[in-house]
Amino acid sequence: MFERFTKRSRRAVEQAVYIAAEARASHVRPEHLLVALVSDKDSLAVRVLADLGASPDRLREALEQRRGRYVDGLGDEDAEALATIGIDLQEVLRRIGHGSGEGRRHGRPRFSRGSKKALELSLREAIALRHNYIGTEHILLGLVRGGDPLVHDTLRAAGLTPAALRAAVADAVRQAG
Amino acid sequence: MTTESNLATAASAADPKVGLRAVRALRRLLEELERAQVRRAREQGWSWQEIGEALEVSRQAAHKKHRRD
Repeated sequence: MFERFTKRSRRAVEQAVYIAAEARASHVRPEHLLVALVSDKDSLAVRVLADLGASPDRLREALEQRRGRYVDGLGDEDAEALATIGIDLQEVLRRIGHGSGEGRRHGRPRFSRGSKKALELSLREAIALRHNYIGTEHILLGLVRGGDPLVHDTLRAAGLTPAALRAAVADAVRQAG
Repeated sequence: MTTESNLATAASAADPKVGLRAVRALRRLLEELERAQVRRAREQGWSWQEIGEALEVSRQAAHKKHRRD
């Protein structure tokens, strides 16, 4: 599915795999994709974020701070919903040793369901904008639309709404083009 | 817990939106729990046969779901 990816966005995906492997994660999750995107300071994705007043470093920090509280696919709203039926998500995670290293890893981490979804959505975002390539900015939009709670809540907390991001991408592409 | 927060909890538990979200979250949490426990069992040398029996699924099903390529 990577044929239409630009060199830069391919590099971002490779970087995400590397980041996941370094973190000894079993899967490349959307958060790894986001960190990879903001690591390339010259990418269009970072320019879009900067246009909206979001600093890549601060986003990465915010992500780090949230990470421990999120299991793959579970966010604040889930924790609240679980609390209503008497389940303390943080306590469960603590007891199963979540976040205390993910065990020994052999080989490359695989793409999680959420990451695959985000990458597929980046293609759809590109098509919607009538672009015949997938750049870092489309991956960013794919991540936003993918709805991974950790990524979603981090962006939301930084004041980055899907609508604002989409508009900023359209602007940035027009300027770059 | 205060009476106030008890009431808040009772009220939201009655809301299907929150209830269904809890179901979805629980399903994901279950998957996470299963992954963690299977990993632990494998690290302690359990066979796929033993893991399958404990989970009441076939050896093949356990292996297919949890093997690490």
